[in-house]
Amino acid sequence: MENANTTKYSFLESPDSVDTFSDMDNALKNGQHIQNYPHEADLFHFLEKFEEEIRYYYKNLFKVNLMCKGTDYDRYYYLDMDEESRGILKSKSKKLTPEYTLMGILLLKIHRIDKYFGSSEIPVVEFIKAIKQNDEFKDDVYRLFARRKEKESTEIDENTIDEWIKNSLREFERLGWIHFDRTVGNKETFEILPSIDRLFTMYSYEIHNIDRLVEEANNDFADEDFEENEEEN
Amino acid sequence: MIVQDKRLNKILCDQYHSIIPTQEDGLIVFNIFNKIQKGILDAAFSERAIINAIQTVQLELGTASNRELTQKNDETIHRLLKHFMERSNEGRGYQLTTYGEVFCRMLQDEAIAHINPTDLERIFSDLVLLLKSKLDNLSDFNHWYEFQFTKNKGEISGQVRALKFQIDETIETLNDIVKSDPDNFKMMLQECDNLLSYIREQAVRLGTAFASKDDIKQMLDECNLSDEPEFRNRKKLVRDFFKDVEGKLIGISHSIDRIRPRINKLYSDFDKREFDRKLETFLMFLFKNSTSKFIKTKRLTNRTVNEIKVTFPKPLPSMKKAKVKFDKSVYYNYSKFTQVEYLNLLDPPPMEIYDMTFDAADLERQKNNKLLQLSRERRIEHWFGEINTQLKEGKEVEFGDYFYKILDQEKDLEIAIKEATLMLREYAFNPKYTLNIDEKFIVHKKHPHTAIWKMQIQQNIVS
Repeated sequence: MENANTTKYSFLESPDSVDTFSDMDNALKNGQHIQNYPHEADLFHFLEKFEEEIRYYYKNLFKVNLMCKGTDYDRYYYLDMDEESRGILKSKSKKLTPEYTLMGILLLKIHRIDKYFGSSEIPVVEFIKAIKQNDEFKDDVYRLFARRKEKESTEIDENTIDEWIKNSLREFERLGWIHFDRTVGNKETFEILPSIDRLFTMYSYEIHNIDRLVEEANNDFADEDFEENEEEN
Repeated sequence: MIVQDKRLNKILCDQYHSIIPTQEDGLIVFNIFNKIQKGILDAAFSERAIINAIQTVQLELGTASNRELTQKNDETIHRLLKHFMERSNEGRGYQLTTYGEVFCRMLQDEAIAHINPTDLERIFSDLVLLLKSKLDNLSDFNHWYEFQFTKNKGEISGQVRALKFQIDETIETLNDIVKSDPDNFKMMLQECDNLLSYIREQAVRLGTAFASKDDIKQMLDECNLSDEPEFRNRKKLVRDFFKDVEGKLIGISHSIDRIRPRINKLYSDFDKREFDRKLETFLMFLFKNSTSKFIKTKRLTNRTVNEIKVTFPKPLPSMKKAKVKFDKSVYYNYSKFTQVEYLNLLDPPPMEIYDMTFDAADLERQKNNKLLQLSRERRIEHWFGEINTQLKEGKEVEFGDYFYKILDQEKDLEIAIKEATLMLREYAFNPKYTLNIDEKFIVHKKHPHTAIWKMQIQQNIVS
């Protein structure tokens, strides 16, 4: 029995594990996504090398799945709960707050759809400016985070929006979705990593069915209005 | 032979422009041919029909004139009568010459070539069958070459040309789709995709039909006429022709292979655009339907910010069915090591003794304050006892009078106020007593700057 277990988790005995396993384990349990980028290449290669064994390790001992998504250079690893483990491990999960979710999707829209930034290095200051000046959604940003119109916003409101953006970016760095590179000139810049696609995976149901959901929401609101009018009458 | 060639050249030089018609003349003949084919005109047609055809073509080419130029029409008819038309056999009207008909048919086949692998299979089958019986002598072979092979060459090339034509059409349509980005983008792309599948299928069938060429090549190789230079020459022409057609079929296959990834990319672009649109709609949906709440203002280094909590809309009924929520979670099982300091119980550190210095004046002040406070509490208690005794004896107490009495005797406003507070606390909600407050001030001449509402207390009679 002991021999069998030794074989199952033999990666723990590998020379690489001394330097890498602890960091990899902490990162994965911290909700981080690991990909083949210079700052985490060691962890990625360790995972790639012992993928099946490590997958078994987490499934067997922590009831959690080691996921691998993306293709070729865009592959990334992370731990995820399935339907079965979600109930058991309820306390071992962290909510992605609505504030962070909004920022994540906004980031994808600005960078991937609008292609607002030419290079992959995005200066934080420019990014904040892009959000505050974009005619398409700035009204909603101010409505939610300043709780007033842009024209009426105070310095505290502006600081609040800046703080929302910066906090979100910090959270995305913790999740391994972006990487800050503070070495480019004097500007603080960040790079979007392939694993930010996890956001698409998380919201795949909502995105694919959005037309139906919008219609459903409109009908719901129409019903509510009707009920309100009935009550008034 | 040389004399013949010279004569032919001379004839062609003289009559070329009447044998090969101008665009206008060609289209006029084709217009009439088309009408005969459709049964609109009889094989024999009138001069009026020719003039109608001239006018139609001129209108199409934009060369029409408002005036009916009789002389010009006569010239056209006269020109066409040289090779394309002739007087009807019946002596009334006109009819197309055989050359005119062949010309129109060739024009039709060249312009709209139809892919028909079944025809090609039949042609090859005939070619193989006939060749088998024509290999005994050179004369028979020459007959096969001139009347079977040469005649069908055009048909075989036409089929390949038709395939090439359809591929070019598909490429043009794809380019149009990319350039113009039409509303029915996906439908047009689907049509191109279907057309390409059809072309590939036809190309495979043509290729299969074309495989019979190997039988012909083999028969020619095994034939005993190899010593005849004319046979060898014609055999080479046959082989070259097949090689040429084979090359073209391979080219078509490569073209299809090149188009396929383009179609796939367009599909993928379309899907991506569709996904992007949905993502944008989703983002807008979240923004428009989310609400936010102010929590508190926080002071951070060099700035002040508001803490705002955003709430997503409630899940819609279909989401509930699919067990989906707008809020998502990620796995998080991060634990930090807690370092506990070692407690050396066996060897406790020495006790430190501090020098204590006291402020005697401050201690005296604190003592006096405390004594004053105790004295006040005693006096409040004394007055409360007195009032309580009055009430228990069944007397009604007017607290306003007591208030000024306390103030006079104690000379301490704080005692009087605290007594009033105690009264309210003790009797306001006590069911055994009734406390009536009238918002009329009771004043006292000795205390012009102090006033209290009228407050009567009495014990309730238990029945």
